[in-house]
Amino acid sequence: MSVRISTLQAFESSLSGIQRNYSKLMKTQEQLSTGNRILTPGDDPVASVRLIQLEKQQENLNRYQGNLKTAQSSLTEQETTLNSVNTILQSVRELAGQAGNGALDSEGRSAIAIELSEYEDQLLGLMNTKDAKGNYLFSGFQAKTQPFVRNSDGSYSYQGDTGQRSLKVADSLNMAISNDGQTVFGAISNAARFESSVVSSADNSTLRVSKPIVISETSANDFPDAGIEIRFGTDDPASYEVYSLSDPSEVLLTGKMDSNAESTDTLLVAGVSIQLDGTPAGGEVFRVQPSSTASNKQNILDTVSQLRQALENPSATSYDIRDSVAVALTNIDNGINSVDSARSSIGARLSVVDITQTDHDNVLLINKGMQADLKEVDYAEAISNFALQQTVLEAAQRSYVQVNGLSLFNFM
Amino acid sequence: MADLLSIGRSGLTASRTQLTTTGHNISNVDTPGYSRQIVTKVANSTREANTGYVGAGTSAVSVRRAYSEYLTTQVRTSTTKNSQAVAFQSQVETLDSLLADSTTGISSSLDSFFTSLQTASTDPANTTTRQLVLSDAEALAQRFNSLNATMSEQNSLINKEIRAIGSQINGLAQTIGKLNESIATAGSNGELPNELLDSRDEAIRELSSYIGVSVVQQDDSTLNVFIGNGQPLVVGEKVNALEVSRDADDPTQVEINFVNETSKRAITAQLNGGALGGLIDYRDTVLIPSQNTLGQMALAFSDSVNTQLSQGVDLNGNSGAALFADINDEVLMSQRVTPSSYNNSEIDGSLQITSTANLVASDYQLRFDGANYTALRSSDGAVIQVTQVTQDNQGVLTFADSLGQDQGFSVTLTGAPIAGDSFTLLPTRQGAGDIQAILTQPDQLALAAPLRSDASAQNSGTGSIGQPTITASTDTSIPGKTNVDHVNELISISPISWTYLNDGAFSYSLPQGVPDGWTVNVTPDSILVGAEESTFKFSVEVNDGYSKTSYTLTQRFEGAPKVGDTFDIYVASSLDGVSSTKNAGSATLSTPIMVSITDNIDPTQNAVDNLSKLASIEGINWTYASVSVNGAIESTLSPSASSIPDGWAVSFVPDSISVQDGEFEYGVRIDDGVSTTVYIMRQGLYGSPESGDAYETGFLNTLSRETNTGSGGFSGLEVSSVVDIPKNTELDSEDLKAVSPLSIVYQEDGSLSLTIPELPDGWSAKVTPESIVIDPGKSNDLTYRLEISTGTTTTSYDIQQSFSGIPKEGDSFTVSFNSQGVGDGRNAQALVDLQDKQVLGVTRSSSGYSLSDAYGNMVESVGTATAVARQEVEVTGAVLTQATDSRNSLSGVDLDEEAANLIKFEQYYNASAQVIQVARSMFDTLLAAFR
Repeated sequence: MSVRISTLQAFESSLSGIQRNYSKLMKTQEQLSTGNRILTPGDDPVASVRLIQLEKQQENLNRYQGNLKTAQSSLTEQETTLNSVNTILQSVRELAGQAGNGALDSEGRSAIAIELSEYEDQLLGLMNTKDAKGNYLFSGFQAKTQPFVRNSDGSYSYQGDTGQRSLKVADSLNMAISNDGQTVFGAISNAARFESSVVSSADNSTLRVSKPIVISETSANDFPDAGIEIRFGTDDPASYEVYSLSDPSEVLLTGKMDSNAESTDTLLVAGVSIQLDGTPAGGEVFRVQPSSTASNKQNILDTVSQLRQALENPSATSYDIRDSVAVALTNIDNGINSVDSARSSIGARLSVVDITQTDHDNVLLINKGMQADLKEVDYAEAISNFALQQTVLEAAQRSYVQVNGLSLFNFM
Repeated sequence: MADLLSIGRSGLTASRTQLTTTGHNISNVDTPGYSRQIVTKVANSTREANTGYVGAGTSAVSVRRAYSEYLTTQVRTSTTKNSQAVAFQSQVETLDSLLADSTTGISSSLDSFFTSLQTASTDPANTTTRQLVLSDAEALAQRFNSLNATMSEQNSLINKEIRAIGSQINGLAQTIGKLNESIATAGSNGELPNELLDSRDEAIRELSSYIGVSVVQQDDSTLNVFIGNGQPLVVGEKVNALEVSRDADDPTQVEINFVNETSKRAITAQLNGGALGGLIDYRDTVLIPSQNTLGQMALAFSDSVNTQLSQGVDLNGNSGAALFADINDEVLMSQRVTPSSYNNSEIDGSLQITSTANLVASDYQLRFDGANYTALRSSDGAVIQVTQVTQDNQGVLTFADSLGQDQGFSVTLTGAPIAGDSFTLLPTRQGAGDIQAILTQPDQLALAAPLRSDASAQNSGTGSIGQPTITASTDTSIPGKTNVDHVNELISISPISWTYLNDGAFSYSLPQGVPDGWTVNVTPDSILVGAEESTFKFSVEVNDGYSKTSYTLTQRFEGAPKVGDTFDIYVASSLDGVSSTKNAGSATLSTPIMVSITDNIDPTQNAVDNLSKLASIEGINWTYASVSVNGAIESTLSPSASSIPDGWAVSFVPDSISVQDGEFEYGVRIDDGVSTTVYIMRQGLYGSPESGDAYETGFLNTLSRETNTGSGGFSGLEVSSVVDIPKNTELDSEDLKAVSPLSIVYQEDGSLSLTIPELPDGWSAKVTPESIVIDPGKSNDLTYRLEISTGTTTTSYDIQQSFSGIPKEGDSFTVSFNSQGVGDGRNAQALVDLQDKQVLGVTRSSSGYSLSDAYGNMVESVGTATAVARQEVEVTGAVLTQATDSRNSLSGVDLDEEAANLIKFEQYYNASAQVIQVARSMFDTLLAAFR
């Protein structure tokens, strides 16, 4: 026995078949036109959430990439500035060398002083460089505060702080993008932080003791805190003994000046060099102690300015000039070292920037691939589905017309 | 022949009835609910004398419906299910597409807010990038607002639809009642009116598309219709009604009441099936939870951003202003509490959010039974413990779940409730609607950190100091106290005494010696114990003025206590040293103080297990000895453990203590086979002891008082959790400016000394510790606390920074307020980090989740609901089609069949006419024979 089909049922079931096929077709069409497999989270809740996470990761990575660009441009800008500073310091060093030439008269020296003052201004300008946004490069956190200013007495002081601005460039990597002026230019070891003083002199003595200069920072750590005392012998006036003032019973070393009064003798105690000229008469005592006026650290500008002032002084003796030049040369070398170490740290960070950028690019690529896999429609599959659904719909429509055209009443 | 004639006539009549019925069937081919009709015929016969029974024609005895009660019921139930699924789906699709869209969803706005913050952090001095943060904050707030508005609108549309459906249901009920009446009348004379039956079945089918019904047939052919779990909507011709009215508890919703002659009661929760069931289901399981989750997100977001901003300084050197409106605004707080319209009292309340991290996305129902408050969490039906505490002379209700987890809000009622009153608490519902960006001045965004460190330019060492971060800033209203550690905190509040009262419950009392200014809350304040053994669980919240710590404690109770029995619970050891009664000397042993606990396996392990370990050895017995050695008198105390559990090893360092000036420190080393823990304790022996005297230091858990008369006893005290509840306060830039610069100088002895500068008149400040020993050349962590008192308020700041390199004596560093630090974006970075920080859903067992996780969870749950709904619509649709097909297969009209019937019955009619013709010709033949 066959199943009895009522007329209404026949109409309704074929109609609902057509409607179902049509809605499937429309959905495929929407997928094709948007390119998305998932139209609302309901289409695939798990993939939707994964997509939200992936989009967030993408957003984060893009943000990091932006930060890396900022870091790169900021670091490059500093690198350029530091290169210029370095060039100027090299020139200053050459000039100092020339000034040390004893044959130079006071006119020659003042010509060098004029040139130095140019360099001094240029250095000040470079150390106060601003970036494109109008922020000072070397002032720490105080981006709107000019880092180096010239005081009324011609010395320079640092107005910024030692804060380092940093950016997050990866999930667990914060990169410092600034260097503060104090560390790079300001706190440079001062070679002239010791002074010599005469405790007792002798008649007929032509002995001259130069300004002590720290020529080795590491050895200077061993220099007695209280200073040293140098005593010339009474029996042999050219020989001397060096005592530590921290422990006056201890003889640190003994020495003897050569007989040539014209040549300069150098005494080196724990990295501190003292030059002895002239002929001692015997019994002279002098001390080398931490200076009461000069500071341990001094900024580059002060170094240049002090050399310039020494050269400008018309009454300076050749010894004074020699001392000043020696101090300046050591301090400039210290400054160049400090600038160089800042440059190499910037260089290291720039290479980290490059590596991190590549890393992020790779992860971004994977991320986008995963997003596409989850979200985007497979066109080949969707188009073939579309064709199939279209065929089915057409078949349903045709058969609808034909089946429902059948009626016994047509034959009565 | 008269007989043949009547047979022919009967055939004619019957065929005509059949033809009429066929015509009726054809004309009703698409009448909804129509069942095709069939004429039932019987053959007649009469008894003749000779031949027995002879046929006497036919008669149409009845016209009946092709009908199956089973199939009709099946259509009805599948209609109910399908309508429910369709109603649910049509609503959930709206929300689903709203969340997914990048222009309507939260996710992209959230991302762009954090991106612009990130941009601002790279260039904090730039007002343009700051302005962008403000406008993105506003855009995000508006996204929250409009998503919330759409949800609220959907809620109100659902309310309207429910009202409309309610009146449809009432109309159909009336129709069914009238049809019942007519059918009963018509049926009383034997024959049933087919058309009325069809109309009634159709009315009930339509009713079932609105609501789930059950139908019971009565003897008089009337049908009784029931809804919900047995509410009689139609009984015979009597009809009851549904009334849709504002929900007594939640003013944003409607509820459905069942009304009969005598009463009216809410049956919303009992209804199921049909469009009504689908709407209610969607509202309760998707819409309201989603709105709560969104609100929870908005609250956590605005609160955590504001909190972080308050920890920074703005472009002008002031402490940060709030970016979003205060979540605890007076108006908002009062909107979160709705008294039930059935309440007898007139009081209202306000709900303050105390921790957005602990909030649960749920509504709560608070009830007062005349003595106690109880609360129910709507999202999972959990019973919530309500505790009343007094704050600022007001009763404040706090809420905690069965694990003791605070729910993140407190409620203040405006007066005393009356027994039976209930209140609906909506902590998170409107959160997304209330979020509002209020900051308009970009320079007031606090993107910089408040402190910075500088090294002196003249330092000769290589020591370098990291930038300081403030890890906690606490408002300390009570001056002159230190933040004690957990062990000592517990010691300070011991013993907690539990006294057995005549209502069968224990109630607690705190010791006299709780330090001034401390607040201690014990929850619950009364514990009912079972007849035999029961577990006694309570939590103690201690606020020592600096920090709040919550301890959860459990122990067993056994035996039968009598009224008034009191047990003193020493949460940690605090028993006085007890002198033996046999002692000859007069010395006393002082209370031991715990100095430190170190565990070899996990040094950071909290005090929990370690304390119970210490308690296991019960106590220490001391023996005093004084001997003369070479003329000098040596006095020693020798310790031994009172009890050593099997397999454990206990030793003392030193094993004999020479007693000189009273106070001594000693170590107790306990190895339980798993780890070794060393307890450093301090005690003092005062007075004049004699050789041979003995003392005892007890580590008892619980003491039963001597005056107790019952036989009950406590055992097995365990501290099952210790949770610190930090309470941060906004930093005060004036405070920090005043103590700038704090100078840190490296001393000869290898330590850093911290010195506070000269302060304004009336101010005082303290730094603890004042000296920190460092390990030169290694990376050191400096942590210290700066306490600043302006004379009126005292704030303490916990500061942390790193120190590395090798400093030289006299090298100095400073920590100062970050004035002019316009290029500093550290606080902005901290704000950006909020995106991945777990700022909500923090409980004891879960570390919580981030904003984007929370949003992801919401999208997933709505997406899943949508996917399930689509499937449900498919499935129930298929079942409905199947049921309808089965019914139509039996009851539906088939035009081909009717056409065949037309031909058939016409032929019968013709044939019957021929029978009459034959009868007539027979009659004629007979007449002709007589002519």
